[in-house]
Amino acid sequence: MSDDPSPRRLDADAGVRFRLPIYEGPLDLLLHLLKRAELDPHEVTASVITEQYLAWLELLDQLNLDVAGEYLVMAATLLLIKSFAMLPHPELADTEEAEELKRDLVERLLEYQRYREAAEKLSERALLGRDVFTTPGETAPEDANAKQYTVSIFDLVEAIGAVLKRVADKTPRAIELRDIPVAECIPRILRALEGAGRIQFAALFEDARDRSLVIATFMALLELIRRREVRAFQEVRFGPILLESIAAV
Amino acid sequence: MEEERLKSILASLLFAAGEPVSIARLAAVFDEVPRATVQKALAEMASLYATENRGIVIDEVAGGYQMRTPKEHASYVRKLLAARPPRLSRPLMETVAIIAYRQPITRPEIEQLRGVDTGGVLETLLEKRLIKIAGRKEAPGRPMVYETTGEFLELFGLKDLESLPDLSEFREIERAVEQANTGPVEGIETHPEDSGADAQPPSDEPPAETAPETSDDDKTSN
Repeated sequence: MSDDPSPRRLDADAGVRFRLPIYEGPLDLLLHLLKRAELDPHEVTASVITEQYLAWLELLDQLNLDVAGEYLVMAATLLLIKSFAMLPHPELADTEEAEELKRDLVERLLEYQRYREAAEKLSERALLGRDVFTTPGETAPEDANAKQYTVSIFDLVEAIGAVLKRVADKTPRAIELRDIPVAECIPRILRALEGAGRIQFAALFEDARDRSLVIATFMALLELIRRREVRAFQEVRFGPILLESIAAV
Repeated sequence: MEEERLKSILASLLFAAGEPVSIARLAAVFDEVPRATVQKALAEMASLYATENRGIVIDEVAGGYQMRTPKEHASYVRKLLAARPPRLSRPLMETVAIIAYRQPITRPEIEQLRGVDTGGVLETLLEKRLIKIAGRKEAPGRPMVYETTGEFLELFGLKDLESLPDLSEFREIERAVEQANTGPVEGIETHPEDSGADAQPPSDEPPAETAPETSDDDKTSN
């Protein structure tokens, strides 16, 4: 991380191979530039930093790489602070604004740096599965809420496969076409959850007699999960999939 | 129950469980052993296992006790299991650190702190079960709030959230830097002579640290 090659190395390698350091956004880039210039986050508005920051964006542009919006916002902030510093500003309010901009930026950098250091400290700990190991035991949950396992889309697809198999047997032989809008199934699911608090995935399809209803209900469920209005989980690994609506804090 | 027998059974329980088991859960296994006795036995076992090089240690993790291999044996165990260690990228670590210290926290709040979009990283963290959705915040748009999980504590071998590396340590460093820039500040012990001359930067010793005893003696003798 700290030994990332500087963008300047590109000149030497031009045409051969590109090795671009990856920055996690404008704050990361700024901290890197400050460290290289041996400056403190309080000196973020030093013109050398602004210049290098803009040079980096220009380089990305030359390489036809997309520059994420947040980099541009930061560039605008840096330039605004710089312009305040360079131009004579009779209005006191403007200089105050520039000071505030700078203060905010420095604070953000310091705070970001703090979490980055915390992240490094965490990474250095003895990690389970890397530095320390344990037995792959399996125990039942302490109580209903103690331990829950998130259910992935694959688990859901597997579960709906089982439902469809069951329903297939019950479907009358006569061909019957019915269009069931997904939107109609959403309130039905929410109502079921509201009444019972949590329900089993299978219960949702208990009285479903034909495949189109099962599929529409399943699509509605996926939509609700996507919207984070409902979540699917297990209390025991490989146990029944449970559904619950996500309540407000 | 005889103490040695209790410890022996506790070892079996921890071995079989694999995951961290709370004292309450362990005590519930026995009919007539008070929690305090279980706790005492576990503490003794933990120090015994650690000092006797048994190849297994008993750690306090995620609100419970867990048997683990000691760090020194990592390379051997890794070789045997041929397991791929958890891959923790820098964005992932930064994000989970922010959530750990600031939970419950919303995605916009995380993105404000990191300065970048964090959607993909949050998905990965949810998938790895290191964080969970803890509900929604009663704020415009009712954004979801995230929290770290027990698995997070387990992965990093943390007893609880209180045992996270102290963020205030960094604050102190920051304060020290500020003081170095602005000169001595109220509440920090400095030599009496320095308080008169503001321009004088603090001496070689780090300003945030409490002054060594010798300087205290100096002051009293002055």
